[in-house]
Amino acid sequence: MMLTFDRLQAGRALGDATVRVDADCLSKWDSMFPGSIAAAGDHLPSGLVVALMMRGYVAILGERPQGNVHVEQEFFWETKVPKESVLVVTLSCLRKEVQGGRRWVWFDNQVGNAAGVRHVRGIMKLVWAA
Amino acid sequence: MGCLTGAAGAAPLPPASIAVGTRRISGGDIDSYASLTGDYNPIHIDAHFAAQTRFGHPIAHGTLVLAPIWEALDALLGGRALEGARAAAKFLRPVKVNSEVRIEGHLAESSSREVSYEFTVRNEDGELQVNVLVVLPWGIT
Repeated sequence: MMLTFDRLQAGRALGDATVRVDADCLSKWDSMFPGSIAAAGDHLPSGLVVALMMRGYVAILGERPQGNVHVEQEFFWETKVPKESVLVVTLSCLRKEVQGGRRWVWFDNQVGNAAGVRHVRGIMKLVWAA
Repeated sequence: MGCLTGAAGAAPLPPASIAVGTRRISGGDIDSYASLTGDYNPIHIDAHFAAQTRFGHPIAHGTLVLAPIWEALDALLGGRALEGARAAAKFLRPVKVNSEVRIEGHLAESSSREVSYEFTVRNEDGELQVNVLVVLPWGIT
């Protein structure tokens, strides 16, 4: 079922997703940013960690309205992500409001590992399309 | 990137600027990023859909546009990368797919414990598209 604005509840956890860092994702990142994977050594490039955070976000939300627009983003980096990682992404809806005829939604998106170590936290603000 | 030299025994002074450079956000980048993230929002990948939106053209994923900044900072910071850093980005104008952006960072503030850089992403007309304030731990050994 489509996750519409009306179905989002402020303060409510939306779930979690397991994201495995595999050769395919490393290869895709390297195709966009050649040399980045090697330069990061035993850890992931920060931009790739953000991409995997977004993978978790997409997986947790499931079917979203088409045409949502990302308007603001905050990051709080805590610990680096080892290259051989299985990440746990958690997502909650922080807030939602209608203002200026648009539907605004804030999410708290966190990336950690199964042991509970947090790598990065992101706060996203979007215009929700429906 | 112009790295300044600190006094002997002190932490190095932060660079006054970080020239991330120009980048064309290609359709290939969009496809790879969509595959990596699973974000196939048609506003990024479907020209017909995007033509009916207020943007009129497919636009890049916001977090893809930021990625060159994190690449530059990872290179600057070396082993500790962005640990302890925080950032706030505002996507002010869309970045069209197959357009070129220029990304620059300038030292905004510094103290004995942290430094902040303001990064800008501008299009070929010089219009500001994205503004990012990044605060980094600095001088802590």
